[in-house]
Amino acid sequence: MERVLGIDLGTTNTCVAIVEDGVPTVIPNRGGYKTTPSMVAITEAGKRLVGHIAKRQAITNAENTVYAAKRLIGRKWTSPQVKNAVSTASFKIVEGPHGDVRIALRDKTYSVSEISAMILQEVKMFAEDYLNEPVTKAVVTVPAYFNDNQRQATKDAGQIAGLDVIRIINEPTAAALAYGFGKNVDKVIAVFDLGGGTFDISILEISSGGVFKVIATAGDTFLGGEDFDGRIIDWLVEGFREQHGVDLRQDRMALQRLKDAAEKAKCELSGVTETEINLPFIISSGRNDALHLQRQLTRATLNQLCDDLVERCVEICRQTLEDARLERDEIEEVILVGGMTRMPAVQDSVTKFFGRDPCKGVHPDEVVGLGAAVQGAALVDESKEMILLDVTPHALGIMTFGSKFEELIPKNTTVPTSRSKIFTTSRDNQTAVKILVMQGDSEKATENELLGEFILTGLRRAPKGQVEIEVVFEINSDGIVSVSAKDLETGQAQSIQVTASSGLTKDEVKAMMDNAKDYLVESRASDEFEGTKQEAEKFVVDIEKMFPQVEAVVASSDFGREAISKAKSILQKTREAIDKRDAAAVKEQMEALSRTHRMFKGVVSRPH
Amino acid sequence: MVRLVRLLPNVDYKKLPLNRVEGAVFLKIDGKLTEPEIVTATGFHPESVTKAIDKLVELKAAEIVDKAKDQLQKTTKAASGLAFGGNLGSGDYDRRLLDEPAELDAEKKALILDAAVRIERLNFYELLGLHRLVDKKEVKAAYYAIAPEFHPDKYFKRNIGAFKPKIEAIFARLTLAHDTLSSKQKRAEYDEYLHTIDANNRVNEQAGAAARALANAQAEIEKQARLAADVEADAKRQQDLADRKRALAAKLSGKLGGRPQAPGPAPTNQPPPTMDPKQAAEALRVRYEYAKQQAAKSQVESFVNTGRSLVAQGDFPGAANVFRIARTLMPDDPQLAAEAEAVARQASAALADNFSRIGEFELQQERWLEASTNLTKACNGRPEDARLHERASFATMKSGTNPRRAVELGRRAVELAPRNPTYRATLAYAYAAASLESSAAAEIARALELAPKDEKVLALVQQTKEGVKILLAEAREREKAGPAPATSTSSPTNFAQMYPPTSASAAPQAAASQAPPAQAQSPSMPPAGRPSYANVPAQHLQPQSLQPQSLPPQTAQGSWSSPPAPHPSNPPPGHPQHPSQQGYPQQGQPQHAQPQQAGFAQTSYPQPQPGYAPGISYAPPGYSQSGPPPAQQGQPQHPQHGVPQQGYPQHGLPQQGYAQQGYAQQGVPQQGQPQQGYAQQGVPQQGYPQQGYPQQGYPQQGYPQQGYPQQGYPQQGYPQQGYPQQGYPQQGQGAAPGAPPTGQPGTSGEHPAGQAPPADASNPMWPAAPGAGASGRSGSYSVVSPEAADRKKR
Repeated sequence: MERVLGIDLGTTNTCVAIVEDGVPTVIPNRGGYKTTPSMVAITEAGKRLVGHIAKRQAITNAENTVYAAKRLIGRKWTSPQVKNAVSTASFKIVEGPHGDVRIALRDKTYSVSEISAMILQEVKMFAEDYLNEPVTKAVVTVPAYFNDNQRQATKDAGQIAGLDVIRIINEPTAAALAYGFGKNVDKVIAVFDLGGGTFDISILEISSGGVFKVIATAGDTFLGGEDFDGRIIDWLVEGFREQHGVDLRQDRMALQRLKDAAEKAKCELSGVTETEINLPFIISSGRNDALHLQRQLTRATLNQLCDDLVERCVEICRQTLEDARLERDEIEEVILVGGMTRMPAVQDSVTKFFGRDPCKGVHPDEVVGLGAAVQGAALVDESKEMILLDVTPHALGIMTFGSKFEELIPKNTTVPTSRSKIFTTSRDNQTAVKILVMQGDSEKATENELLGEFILTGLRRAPKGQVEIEVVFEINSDGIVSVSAKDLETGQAQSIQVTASSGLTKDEVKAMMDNAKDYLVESRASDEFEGTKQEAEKFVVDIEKMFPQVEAVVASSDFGREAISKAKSILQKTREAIDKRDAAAVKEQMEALSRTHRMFKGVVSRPH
Repeated sequence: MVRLVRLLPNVDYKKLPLNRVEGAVFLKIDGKLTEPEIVTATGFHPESVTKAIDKLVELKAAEIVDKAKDQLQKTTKAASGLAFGGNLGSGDYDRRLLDEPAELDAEKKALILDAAVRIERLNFYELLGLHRLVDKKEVKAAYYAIAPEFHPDKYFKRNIGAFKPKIEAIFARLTLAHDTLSSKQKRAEYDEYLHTIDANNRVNEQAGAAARALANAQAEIEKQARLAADVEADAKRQQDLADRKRALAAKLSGKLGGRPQAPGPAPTNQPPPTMDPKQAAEALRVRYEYAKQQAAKSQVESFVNTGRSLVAQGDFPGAANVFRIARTLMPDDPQLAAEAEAVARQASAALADNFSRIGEFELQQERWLEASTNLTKACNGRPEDARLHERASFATMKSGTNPRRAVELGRRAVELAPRNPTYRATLAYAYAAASLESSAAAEIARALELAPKDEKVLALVQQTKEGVKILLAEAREREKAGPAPATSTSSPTNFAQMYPPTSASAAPQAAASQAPPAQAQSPSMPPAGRPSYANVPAQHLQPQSLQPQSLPPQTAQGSWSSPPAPHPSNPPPGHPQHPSQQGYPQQGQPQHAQPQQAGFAQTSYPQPQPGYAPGISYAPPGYSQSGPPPAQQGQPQHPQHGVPQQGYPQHGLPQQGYAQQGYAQQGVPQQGQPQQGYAQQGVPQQGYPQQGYPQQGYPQQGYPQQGYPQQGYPQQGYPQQGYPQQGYPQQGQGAAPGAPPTGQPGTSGEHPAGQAPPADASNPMWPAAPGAGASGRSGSYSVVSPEAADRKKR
């Protein structure tokens, strides 16, 4: 059976899982951790770092370390969220050639999809190590409230990383799959997913026949742990300014340290009620001495700082319940997903709102990845009795007369689906109409996302309102939107498959794919070299250590002298090869080195 | 992997070489218990059970069931069971499509193809194989049993080619069914919708049944009358015979006895000498008439009773039908007429309710055309309902079929509620849609005057203004070839000025037509600096809704009615195939051939506003709307009409009907068929009834016992008043508007009691001169003569 990875590509952490012998399992990374920080850095030497090592060096390399790239993926340069990120991020965000967002690291700019691809590539690599076989297919999760452009950008990231993303599924849905998998229950559940960057709430119905039907979903793609951290940072910066009159935001490294400290404090406050934030030498005052930051943060203060964020989550829950036409007491189980749900204030709010204690049985960091793996397995294995009926999180429609958004497929519609509506011309003798396919929940078309457009021509010349055009929207099970328009009189028709744009052209994606592949080859080679180099260096060091002793013993004989000079030349050649980073040359020397090493050992160990 | 074991058929356990353990395991295998369950059930060690099962499989006594496959079969079975109307796969689909390449077996292909056809015509309950009373849980269960089978993910790894969109469509429909039936509100709406359709079907059936009942009643009356007449004729024949015998005997005896005796006085017990044949015929006819009236009376009575009980049950349309029949049988009874009128009014109000409910629902569904039709029908039932008119206007405007009609309805709404700004705004929009810009502007001004602050009105007004403004702006733009002016006119008067009267408003249009179309409509000219989708809005489509925000938030359910509502390129209003009219008999829809249409004059005339309630066929006469011009009354066979004879052979056409009924009518010379034995000439009617009548079993008392007199059915007016002459014409010509029997000159009014011989007055139980009034009068006007009808009307 073909293996399909389930990847929870999170804002702060990424988790990869697979179904093994019918059991979904998280694949640990090389460090043995079950989640990998979604961070990418480029070192001064141009080396790419992903995951824990990237996180570790973030403070010293703040400008070239990307975190929370997910908050930017698939967004337009002009969007307010990007504007916000530009002013707060410690790395440099620039405008791309198509109005998209790029990230400048060292001397190169990367698309956000590329950054995400680096993370995917990393997890793919260690999954392959773990499974001992190549894997090409994956189900990747995204926040339920992602729009089509963001989904497409995520898909692109998978493609760049060399993964065939067979399905994009929603994170809360995935969590529900993991929760309900093999349980054989009939239940209505709510999944409250507050992650690093996004908030989602989904209400699902699980039937014992293995059908998972999403009833309603909603969320906020810019509400998550990062915002909670931001509140703590603001609080620290503000306090520091009052105390010292210095704005810590001006210093990127200080900002990164603040960020780290804030996150740590937030996590600690889930367990204790008070913690100390201590950042010595946070900034130089410019008079040859450094300033230190030291403050006490209590849980109560944190709750106060983040009060409105939690309230926003609850408000979205309320709205979603309404959309689902359910009462609170009809929810039979509440599942908490995402690291942020460890925060007591969040848990309390959820308990209060739903009137029941949340389910304790799922791991908030791993459940989404596990669910993705479950879905992957169900797709490729027909004997798996599991079917997922997901919904469209946003309404789809077209722009009409007066820039109005005319909805064809309402939000929370189970896919696949198709809907049609009749429209008419708005001007006399209008012979062409432009169909602008949009996604969003605003009545004003301009506030929604443009997914694609096409033109229907050859309309009959007639007074306005007389020509009837049928517009059909279709979403298939892969989430691909097709739109067709037809002049009902002439039968003239036009249609497009709306391929949401991630901000990258096909060629760009292709080029990035090639780059990624090259990198992979390079990095594999470099890994290999490093391995050989270490081995060779070990020999070299050992041999050098034994050298005086061996020299003393065998110098008397010609044979010995010859051997010594031979050993010297081997060492020399090895050093040169290492300096040139010539893996092949080093390898060539390996046998000689090993032989020399053995011989030296023999000489040294012989009793004299 | 948990194993499920099943026994193979035709295994003789006696011949199996089994030990005790294996035998016990063998006995536990039933195709339902899994291996661990067998372990629990037998209490044996799991290993020995495993071994036993292995051995049984080896011996070919049992087999391991592939659970997934088993499940698949089960669900397929469910899907082919009650769902989709049952027997899925055997339906009427294009068998050639089975050859489409797909990684599916033939059976599966058949299921999919058949289901794809069926989703178009089954209602949601039938689709899920459910009874209408099932609860939410059962809806879910059914959906969850069927839907996964038609989810494309089930075939993720296969290439199913052309079957994929089909599966997706089936799935989408099932989901819509589930979503609708499991939401209380949506289900109520849908039930209402189905219910209305059912009710309409039922009413149609009822109407058909009513027509049949009427025919039956008339046949029955005929039969009884004939029977009665026959009895008399028989008696007469007997008497004639006796007379002749006697005469012969006398003759004979005369001959035998030499000179014949002068005939002596008739024996006292002998009946009077033979009547003049003419007289006899007339007497017979009168007797026949009388019998007929009696029979009719009892029929009417039973109809009236039925009608009353239907009224009591609240079934006004049904009652109206029944009363209509009763009135047809007995057209001259003022009280019956009054009662029938009252019921008809109630029925029409009830129907208006129905139509307005359907209309509102369709409005919500944005099925403008249907909504327009139904709301307009409702308006006819409730001509004083301003809101209804406004809604109807709105729907009609949105449907885009008949802007003038929308304006008319809007005007009526405003007329009824002149102070309502929303109605004015709607009217303004209707004006705008009908290109009556100046009227629109004026109306906007008035609306704003009434509610300068009302947001809804402002929004409506803004919409209207924008709509019109953009047109103008574009026209200018094209004229100047410059950018569109973005200035907004805030004051209504200003707006009015911008909008020259219609005569002058040709200017922008002229400009439009001057501009080279390719350029004018070229969508590839977005103004620089704007996002491409924000460019000139007029290039985009306009929803048929011009002002969606004045609607309740849409639920946009797609259409209930099977395929997307047909939108003929130029939909004639009241298009016969339109789904909104499902169940309503349509003009020109032969398959309906509603007989009762014959009863409606108005159905036979081209409507000035077609699509506007032509066929409320189950309405009683006088119920529906406008009357046709009287001059046309004499043309029951209007070419557009669904030829009345089809449904009503016996009375659709007076000429035919009477001829069939076997007696001639005075005043209709071509029908005077003396050979049938009924002479038209004046019959000495006075003497007649008293004579032959009582013996023949029509006791006078019978009548009052029936309670009519007490109820004020004036004896003199009731049966005799021109029933044949006037009753039928009314049927044949329908509810000749303005000619309700009660008020018609020439009906009861022209046959005052006073005309009956005085003898009558002394005998209130008995209709005097049954034939006289009718026959005497009928000569004075011909029912089929348009002039007469004309005169009547006057």
